[in-house]
Amino acid sequence: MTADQKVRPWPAGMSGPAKKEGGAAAFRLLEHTADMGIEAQAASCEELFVQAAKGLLVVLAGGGETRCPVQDVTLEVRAGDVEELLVVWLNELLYLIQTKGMWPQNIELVDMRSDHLEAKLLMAPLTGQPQREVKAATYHHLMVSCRQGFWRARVYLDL
Amino acid sequence: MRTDGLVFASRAMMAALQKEQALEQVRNVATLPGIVGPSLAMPDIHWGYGFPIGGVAAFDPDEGVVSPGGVGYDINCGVRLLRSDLEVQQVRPHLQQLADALFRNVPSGVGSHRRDLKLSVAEERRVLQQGARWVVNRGMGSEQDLQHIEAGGCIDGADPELLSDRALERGRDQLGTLGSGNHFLEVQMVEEIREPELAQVLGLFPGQVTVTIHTGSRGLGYQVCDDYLRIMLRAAAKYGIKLPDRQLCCAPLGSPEGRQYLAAMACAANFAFANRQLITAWVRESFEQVLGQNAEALRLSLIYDVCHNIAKWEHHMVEGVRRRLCVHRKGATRAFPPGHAEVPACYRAIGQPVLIPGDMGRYSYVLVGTAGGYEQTFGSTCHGAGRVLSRHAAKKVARGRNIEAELAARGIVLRAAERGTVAEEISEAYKDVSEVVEVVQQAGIGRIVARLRPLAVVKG
Repeated sequence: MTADQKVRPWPAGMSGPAKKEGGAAAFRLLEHTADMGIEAQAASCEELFVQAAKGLLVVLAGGGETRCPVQDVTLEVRAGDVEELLVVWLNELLYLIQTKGMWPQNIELVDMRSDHLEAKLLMAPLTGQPQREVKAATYHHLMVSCRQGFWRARVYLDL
Repeated sequence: MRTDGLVFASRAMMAALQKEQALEQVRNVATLPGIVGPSLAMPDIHWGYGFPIGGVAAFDPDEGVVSPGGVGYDINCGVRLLRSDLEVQQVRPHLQQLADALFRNVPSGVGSHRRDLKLSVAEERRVLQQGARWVVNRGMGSEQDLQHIEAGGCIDGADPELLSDRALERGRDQLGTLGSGNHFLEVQMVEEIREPELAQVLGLFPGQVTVTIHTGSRGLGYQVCDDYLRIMLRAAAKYGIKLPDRQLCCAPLGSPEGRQYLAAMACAANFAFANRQLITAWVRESFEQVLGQNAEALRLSLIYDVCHNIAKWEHHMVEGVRRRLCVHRKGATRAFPPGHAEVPACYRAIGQPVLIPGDMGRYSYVLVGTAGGYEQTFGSTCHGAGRVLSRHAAKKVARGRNIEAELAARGIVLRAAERGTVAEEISEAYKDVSEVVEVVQQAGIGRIVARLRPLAVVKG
């Protein structure tokens, strides 16, 4: 996938170590007075969205133990552009976790365009609830950018 | 910017505000079409998303817009205050049991729900249309309760047809739940009366036991906001509205999208009114269980219930002309003055009660609305203390400390669903609410009546 060259400066006030997942893909949590943000980077847009999802799972703080059996879930998400797609993607995950009581153990993006994605999730039922409530991923200071094949994203969560 | 930004703050608060993005958010709101008067911020202003927390903005019905980001995800998050005839010495020996009973009877924590209360689809629709009355009609509360709730506990124009299946699903088992984060249930005592005559009208006296409930529309409200933000992103493009921040996406008040959002928002607001009313019933039940007297004998009655995340149609004087405006309050409380028709008759001589929670370790305040607030802020004032530390920073400050023991040493009993939430909600995470209400008082946008001190705190 290609994307518009849309690069904005990295914001100040980031905290916490980057969570390295191998290669350049990573995420870190951003400080916000009342809420929290996620900043992610990756070599592909697909991996970028996976990293942002991993950031969300860390913000939710665990999720408690899960019990078998796990279940394959296919998730299809559409949006007007790639930034909105990131918000809708994270909010779909929140819905599955908070309303359906499912916790993603593995996330794979099988199809990705700037206005559409399809993900295969390995979901396990939660025995408890995540430790932190996230109301939603927001559009505030939302950013998805690609420069020289390197992807970056920033999204704030309402807690 | 189409208008000025006007921030109510002390010098020290302004210095702190320069370090974050709340002032930029005040400026962003000032660019929205049809804004009337300044883009306002109350003294508990802090960095939000879209609007700042503590933001107030009024819009013209013809030229103006409505923005879900100006209301927030927790639609009609609000506060209600109950008074009792009990004095602190009557309750203190039972505080542990009372905290246990409240913690048991009122579901709290992430995703909390009552196993014994899951609404049918038809019942949920009635809740969305009737608000607190739905609960009162089931014998849990009284007509007098309804008279002591902003808008009588029901916003007109609610249309459940405009809610997604997902919003309805998220609300179905969350009625009567506190939730998590900064939401709480607190047993308090009246520690200080500043205005004895006003306090008497509110039924407050020194040493009296009160209860504060702070929660909102739960997952249903979050989903309504999220659904309509997506609609408004397209509407803003359709109507040629330039957005400095996508979270400010909006539609003209007279457009189908604008009208539909207000009707959906009213549903979520009514859900929140019903939520606080149901929790009130369980608070009364908890007091009865522990103290062995019925709630009527304890005179556990509602002083008032205020929204602090809402957009409402109101009439205000602008440059000598009475105008109908859509007032957005995002982390701000309506504070109507003495004599206003929407203030309950029993309080009309003193102004609308305004309930300002602080943090779980210090105090909360009861104020009343003033004519000054009606003139300067569209009848609005602050809604709380306002955070100063991020959650990460608060956890760092709390590390290695036993917060529960610290509160116990100050005579405060704590029951919490999550230990992590307690660390994030420590007193140091918030401004001192006394400084916030002093600014309110000095600016003339509210009048301090009484200070309340926590005795028992239930956190999600």
